[in-house]
Amino acid sequence: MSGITEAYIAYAIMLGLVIWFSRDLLTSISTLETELEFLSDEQPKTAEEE
Amino acid sequence: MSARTLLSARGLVVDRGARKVLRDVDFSLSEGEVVGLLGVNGSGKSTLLESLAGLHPMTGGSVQRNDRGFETTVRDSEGQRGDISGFGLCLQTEGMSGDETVLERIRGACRVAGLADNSEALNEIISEWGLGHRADDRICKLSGGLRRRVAVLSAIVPVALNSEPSVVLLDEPSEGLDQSSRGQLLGWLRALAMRGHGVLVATHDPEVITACDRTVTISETSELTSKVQESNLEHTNLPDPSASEYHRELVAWTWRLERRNPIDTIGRGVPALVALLLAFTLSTDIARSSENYDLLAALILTPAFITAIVTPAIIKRLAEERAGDWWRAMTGASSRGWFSIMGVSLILPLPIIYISWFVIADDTALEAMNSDVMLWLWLFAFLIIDLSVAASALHLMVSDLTRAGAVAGILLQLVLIWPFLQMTSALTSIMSNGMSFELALGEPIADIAIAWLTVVLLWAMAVIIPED
Amino acid sequence: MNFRDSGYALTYLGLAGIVFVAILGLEYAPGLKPCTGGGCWGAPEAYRILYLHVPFAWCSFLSFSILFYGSLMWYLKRSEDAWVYFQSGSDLGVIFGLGVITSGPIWASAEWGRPWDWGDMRLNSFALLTAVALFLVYSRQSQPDTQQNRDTLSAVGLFGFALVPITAGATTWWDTTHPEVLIVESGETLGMSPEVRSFLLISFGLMCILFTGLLILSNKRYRLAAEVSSRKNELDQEAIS
Repeated sequence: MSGITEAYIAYAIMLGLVIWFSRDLLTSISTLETELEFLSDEQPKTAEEE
Repeated sequence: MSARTLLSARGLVVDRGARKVLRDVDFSLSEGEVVGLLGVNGSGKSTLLESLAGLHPMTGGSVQRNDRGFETTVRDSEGQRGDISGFGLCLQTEGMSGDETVLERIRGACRVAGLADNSEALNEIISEWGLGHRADDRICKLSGGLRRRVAVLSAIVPVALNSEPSVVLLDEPSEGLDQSSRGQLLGWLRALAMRGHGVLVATHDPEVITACDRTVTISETSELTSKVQESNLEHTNLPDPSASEYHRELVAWTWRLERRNPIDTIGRGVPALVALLLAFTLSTDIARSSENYDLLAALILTPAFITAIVTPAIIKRLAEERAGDWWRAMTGASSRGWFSIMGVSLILPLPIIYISWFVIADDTALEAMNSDVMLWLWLFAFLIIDLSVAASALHLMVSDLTRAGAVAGILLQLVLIWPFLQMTSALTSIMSNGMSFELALGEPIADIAIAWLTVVLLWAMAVIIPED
Repeated sequence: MNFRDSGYALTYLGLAGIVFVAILGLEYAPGLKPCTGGGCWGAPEAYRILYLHVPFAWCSFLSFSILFYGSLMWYLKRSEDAWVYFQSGSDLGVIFGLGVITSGPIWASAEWGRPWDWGDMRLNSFALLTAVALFLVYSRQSQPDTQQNRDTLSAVGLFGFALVPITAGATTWWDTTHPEVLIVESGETLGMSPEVRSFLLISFGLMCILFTGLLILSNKRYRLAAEVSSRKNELDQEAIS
């Protein structure tokens, strides 16, 4: 047994982790930017305004 | 035509320990009325409201509800509990898990009440109540005042969107609410009555009392004094009712929270992993010969067994802010059974049993042992899942105690050693002689059947007995 | 391009770099001879795991250093920026720590025939470090964002960092089966050729680029999240008043 299969599995896990994390980071930055833009324009409704 | 009675209590007697909190109480709530439940602290307002929700065992009397035109027993002193549909309930504490988001909570309450999703109406209501920017935030991130708004909304929205006359029970809803939300609450109470729903609100708040059509004052000796009054408050315009739709919301709720905060999987997986590594270390000193198969079988099954007996996360989730009481009131008679099933370890037993097998049984052992083991290992994983249902029911039983945290509940779990030993015996037989379907004592299928029956029996006892 | 935006470029460059390292590491990098002066290897090809495993381990030490910085600064200054570093450090600690404790046992089971060694302090303390980081990530998300909770979690962050020197020194202080501290120790005893060492350093260099990119982006995320949270608090106040 040379261990090459194990090497491929380990590489896949490590690459998967950093790629998934990078993707998650980029998605949440863009979501937060959109949310901040939306919140900047928002005015809450209160009972007095009804 | 006189108004239909939506909720009634007859001869209600409720004890709390040695003290009688409610003595022979008769009460009724009709369609189209807002009733204020008044009384000094300790007079039993909350106990009456919660008993009407079916939350307390009764020494005498019964609570009936007109549910979609049918007279149904919410609970009686005989322990009977009917199958009721969701209604509106706001307890004095929030009754919500902090891991739910605002929108999920209110939508979930509507689904429990058997309503189809109406995102447009919900978003509009959430915005009107000043929670639009918080719709996707977890409840634990909100301030106390905002959490109270969510708790109140999850009681009144499901009823407001219901086309059939339904019931709302509110315990001190204005406590912790800011002035503007109080104003909104009063408008909503009037609007709910206009739509034909019945509202019972236990309160000390004079402002809330102005929204009532009738007040009922409960004395310390449980005497009720009723007084009719007129409310001139303006009603809010409610959204149109939603269509009916059946949901299995408790399942969705459990799964959603676990995905968001996997304390169940981690809480079970970590001890199982440690057990696996210890089992492996121990197994290295054991010769892989047939006389040691019983020991090896026990080591292979131990990590998965540990995943099953660990306290399920649902126990903690139900204990948070009395979320369990809210669900108990909503799901009625079937709540305990469903909680025990929702507390099961579904994900881990199968992979853990196979990992244990591969880690503990080395190459030489694999050659010597019967090849049927690989073929039938899944059966043991399913037995562990069964065992986990019983374990979860036992944990639920312990959690009913007033100070559940002060009890060593794990001692009760030791009773599950018996089915575990039967499983070990079955696996040992398969390792030595292969699978056999002969129904005789000592044969694997008989051991498996005994283990399964023991588990079912334990589960049934833990679920049925406490309800009676 | 300002400094914060450079996070995107560094992340993309770093990702491309480690994919490149993975291809080279699996296909072209020098492997091991089954037997060298230091002894024989049970699974010489599994040795290739080291080209990512070791840089991952070093990056997780870096993550914990950042977590330590964030925790300490939070204690000293109670500054929002310190909390941003705390959050980034714990996130990165989980990602790199998980990479190490999953790839390690895969290598170990190929090489030693068993995935874990209870006597090996480095393995155990690394698992503990990752568990601490995971605890911090989940706890942060599930708790209200109050000063008391931040104090408690940053205390756990400081405790986590105290484990780092123990982990790093573990192989020196305890006699274990885990390979000696690579590079620092003589390569000869492990049969590590200069080519292997150079390749490992290239891999670590590229991993550092990725790490820097991820750190900048993660800080950006948490600064944005703080802005969003502050705006929501303003809206809460407006709704109440």
